[in-house]
Amino acid sequence: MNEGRDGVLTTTDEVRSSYYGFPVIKAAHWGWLVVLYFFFGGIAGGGLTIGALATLRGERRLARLAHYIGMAALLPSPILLILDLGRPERFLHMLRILKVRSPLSLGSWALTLLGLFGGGAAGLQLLSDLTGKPVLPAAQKAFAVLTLPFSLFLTGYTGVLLAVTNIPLWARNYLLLGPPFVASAFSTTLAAISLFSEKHEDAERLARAEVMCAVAELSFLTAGLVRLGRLGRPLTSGSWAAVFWPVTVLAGLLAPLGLNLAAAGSGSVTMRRASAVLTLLGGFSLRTVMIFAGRESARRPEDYFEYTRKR
Amino acid sequence: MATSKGFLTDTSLCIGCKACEVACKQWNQLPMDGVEWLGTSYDNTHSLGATTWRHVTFAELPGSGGAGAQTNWLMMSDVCKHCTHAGCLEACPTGAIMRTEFDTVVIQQDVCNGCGYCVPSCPFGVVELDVAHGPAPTLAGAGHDGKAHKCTLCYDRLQDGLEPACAKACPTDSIIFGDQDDLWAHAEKRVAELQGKGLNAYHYGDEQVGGTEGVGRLGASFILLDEPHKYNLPEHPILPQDHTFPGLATMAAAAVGLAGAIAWALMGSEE
Repeated sequence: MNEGRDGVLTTTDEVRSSYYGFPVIKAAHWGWLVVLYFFFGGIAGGGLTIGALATLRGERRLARLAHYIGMAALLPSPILLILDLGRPERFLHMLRILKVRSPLSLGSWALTLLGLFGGGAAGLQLLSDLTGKPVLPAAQKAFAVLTLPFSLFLTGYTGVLLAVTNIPLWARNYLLLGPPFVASAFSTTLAAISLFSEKHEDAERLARAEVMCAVAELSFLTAGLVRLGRLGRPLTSGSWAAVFWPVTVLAGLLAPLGLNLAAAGSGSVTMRRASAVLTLLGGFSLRTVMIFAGRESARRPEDYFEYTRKR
Repeated sequence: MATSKGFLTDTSLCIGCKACEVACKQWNQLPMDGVEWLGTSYDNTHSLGATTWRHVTFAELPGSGGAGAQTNWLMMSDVCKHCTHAGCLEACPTGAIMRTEFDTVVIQQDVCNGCGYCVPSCPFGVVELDVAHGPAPTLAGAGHDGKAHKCTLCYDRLQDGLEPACAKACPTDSIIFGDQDDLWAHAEKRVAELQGKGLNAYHYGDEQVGGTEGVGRLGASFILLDEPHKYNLPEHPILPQDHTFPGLATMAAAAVGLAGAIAWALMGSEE
């Protein structure tokens, strides 16, 4: 390497390996509004999916909680997205056309249709709870069927949205960015459900599902980091590594996994609550580090040149 | 019937005068970016952006042969590439980014809602959202409008049969405008001529030579004298949307699989 006399990169060296170290590509402007949307959108997708499945299987207690949690997360979602636009008053322009190769276009339509069908399902759920008897059970099942494709899409399309760009950290990992978002959407949803769940026997089953999701998320993340190799550095050793390792991985995934497994033996309610809170924190931090480490990835010309090297 | 139009920027002729930058700003009424002394040769705008649609790079490469060796000064007027398969256009969820009758890529300002998805989707870092940074612009109607901006290849001038402002202003014809097929034929001849003089010249943006199959032929291509990365250009730009369907497939498989597993774990025992 052409390093200066003191081992410091000089301007001359930067000109040899890039153009004065200036970024080649531009980062996405996405910040906290989009982080929050990714978090709520995941729970909306997860909640309405579990709600629809529970409705179809006739599990009333679960359907009720999942629908309410899903809907509570769905309501702020479009507001966050509209606030993030450069011209918020033009948000309806998203629905002028449909582009099947643009995840953002697909997501706009999915969110709209999920509002319609999931909203219908949650509305009938509310009416049933208020009147104390099932309102239009056939329509509830129809809404559940219509909800599923869009709620499933919402659990993980946000990962694909990041992947379909030129940011090396996201783009190189395009096959394995959607799956951890899916797993995290379901685990945060289950955590939210378990915080509101009152029945002891439900807690046992929720913990079982949470463990499955955490194991899946860990596997997807690990496989993704292997695939990324050196391009994963903004996440693994960059400025966001200080959040990724301790918060996302340790506190958000490994700790809840341990607590859930321990609680399975002891039946401790406190352990399960702690696990749920940590899972929610982990899910939020996963989206935070992915989005902000993407900015760092975009700033590194060497990473982009590696991503676009002729093979 | 309009034909495919484009630029050919021959960096072997560029003298770094920045007349293209000035002509572009004047014609398109773009505000100044503020003065920032970067300490990087004569470059003080450092990249293309929302209000800089031409950008001249000045890469000072020391020649081999130790002290006293002649510096190899690479100058290039960078611009939107108007890709055949444009990442920004495919990303745009509003349809604001369109392909014109001249096969150029233009952002319709009355449609763009500033979602910003085109910005990281461009393989060359061309498009930018004009959000407030630095002093407010003084020109009426320009700047800080929250929308995405880039070179239009002077769509308005083309419609009136004029060549783009930068090509018109370029005093050495480093920037030439014309039918893409003519530019390609010219580039082939010029590259052969430069190679005959012992220069390491090649045509960047040609599928045959430059290897840009990811985004197809570049509507605005370049004759370069050194490796692409020295001009801050990628060797093999990739079209992000080629990853959409594979990415969605693994995501959908994970979603259906996990939903099934959760249904199995959670349900079936509620009385």
